Amino acid sequence: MNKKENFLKGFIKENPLFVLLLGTCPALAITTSLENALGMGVAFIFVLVMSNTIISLINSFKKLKELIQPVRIAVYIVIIASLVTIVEMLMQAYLPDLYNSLGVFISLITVNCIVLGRAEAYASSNTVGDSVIDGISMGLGYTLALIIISIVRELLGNGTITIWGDLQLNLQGVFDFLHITTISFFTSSAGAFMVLGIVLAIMQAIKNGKEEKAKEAEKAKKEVK
Amino acid sequence: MSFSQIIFIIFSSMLLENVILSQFLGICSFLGVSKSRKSAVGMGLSVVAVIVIATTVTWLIYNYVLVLFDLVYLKTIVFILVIASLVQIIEIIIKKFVPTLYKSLGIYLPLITTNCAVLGVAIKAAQNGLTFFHMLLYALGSGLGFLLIMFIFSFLREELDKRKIPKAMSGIPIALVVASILAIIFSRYVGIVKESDNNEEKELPRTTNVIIMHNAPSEDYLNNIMRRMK
Amino acid sequence: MKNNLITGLVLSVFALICGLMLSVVNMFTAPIIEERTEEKINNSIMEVCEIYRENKDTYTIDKESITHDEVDSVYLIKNENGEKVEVIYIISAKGYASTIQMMVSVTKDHKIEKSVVISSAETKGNIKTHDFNMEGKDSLEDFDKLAGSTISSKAVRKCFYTALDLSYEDLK
Repeated sequence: MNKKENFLKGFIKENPLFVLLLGTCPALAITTSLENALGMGVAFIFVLVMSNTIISLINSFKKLKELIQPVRIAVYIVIIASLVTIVEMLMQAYLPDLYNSLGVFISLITVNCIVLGRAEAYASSNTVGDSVIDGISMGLGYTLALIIISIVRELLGNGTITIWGDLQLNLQGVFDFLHITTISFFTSSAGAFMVLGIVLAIMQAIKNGKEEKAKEAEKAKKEVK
Repeated sequence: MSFSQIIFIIFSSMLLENVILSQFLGICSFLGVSKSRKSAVGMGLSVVAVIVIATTVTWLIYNYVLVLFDLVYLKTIVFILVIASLVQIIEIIIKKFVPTLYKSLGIYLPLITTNCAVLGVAIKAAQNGLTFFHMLLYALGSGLGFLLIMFIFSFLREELDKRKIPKAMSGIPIALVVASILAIIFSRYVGIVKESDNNEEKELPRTTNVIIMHNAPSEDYLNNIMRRMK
Repeated sequence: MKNNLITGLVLSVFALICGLMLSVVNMFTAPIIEERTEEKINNSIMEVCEIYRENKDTYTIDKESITHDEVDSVYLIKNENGEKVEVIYIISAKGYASTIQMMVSVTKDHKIEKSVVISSAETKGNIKTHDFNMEGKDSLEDFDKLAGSTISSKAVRKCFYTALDLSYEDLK
């Protein structure tokens, strides 16, 4: 796998949320506005890249790798937890509003399966450079997924798209013009499940369509032969 | 704490603020392990046990160690270590003393460490400054809520497997849509919070226990009268 | 046994390093966090209390040592003669998805002057911008709840009630 493939895999092919179905908790809970999704994404990318870097660095020393082998998961968790705490403290200091609205889910990045999964499955057996690229790719892919869900939910539920702070796109006028109202269902918890379910179904439908096309192409090839 | 309060705390953490459906904690195991009824109940029961024990221990550590030594910022790292080691200890104990239980629950125990419901409930209980008894009830209610939803949902998924579902929706997507409908139903439990909550508000002002006599005679006036009477 | 000891030692060394790292970061961020919260509270006081905003030089504001179980902190505004003119409360109440923290100012005639939501992470409706129709009122009769979010509104109502209620005691 070359570097470009490594970078692009997180977006569609191995998207952590849509394909691997990891990290569903924050994807449902904090996607009520685009601002939250962006904040969560940034925090998440930081933790993922840093944890991948540190863990691949530790594993590049053979002696150290053997030493932590029996307790490696615990060591990874400790590293991830302290990275998360750093993000938490920085966010509380510089972005207090965002910190308040993300609430407990910043701390819960610790137990997010993506971070630990990447550490165990990728960073522990790859070079530092590759691990960093992997972290950025997975982080961006996850952020992209959060952005898609949050735009759908915020637009249909509130009629707005909050980009950052007061920078808000108010599309209430468009809704009025089309004589439709926003449905607060989408910002409620039930709406979160529904939106994620439907987005996943669309992804699955696209995948199925592609597979069928590939099959048909193969069939056509065989017939030609 | 009165009996009605106890019931209220348990019910509100179990149904109203359900861990899965309204707080979105533990979704990974909710989707992953709810395929069959047996595994769902197994996972749910172990989560109840771990949540109650872990929340108690972390609450004690938070209030009697971290707060005292001004180390609150270490809470995430301490809590996750406590939960991980607790899960290990519980696993060893069950393995040694109740091997039959270990056979049915054992495989779910390691998964619980990364179940965000446990860490989430522990952090919320510590941060919201609950009293010991309140925390215990809250943890129990949250765990039972998790178990309840796992149980209901595994039934629904077993039924779903028997039905014909469009190819694109089969599997996780339809499960999420079903969860959404379940969440709508559970959000209606808001109704059990009495509308008469406002009864607590008595007529204002409530706190003035000293009666202020607005037209009370002043001292001079009283003295005047006394003098005249003489 | 020896192996177990070594692995335990390795883990505790890692935990110690991480803990130290965190305390270093905490040393940098803790003062900033404190400063921010203080600044936010000061700004909210300015917004909530008109008398103090306009007579900053002659009026004094004290963070009172009197504490009630129901409120987080109490600020008393006094004029140049030391008479109490207004009281400001910071009150928390549990809402739908989070704890709502509000600042409420009550004037001498026990009327709500203004209120600000300091922090809330409520998901339903926007309680930060909603007008609860309480300004200048001395009872909760005209309380205008936010449609669709009963629990958040209830929490806000409780904040107003506590503020009005306690003002009878604190503004004596």
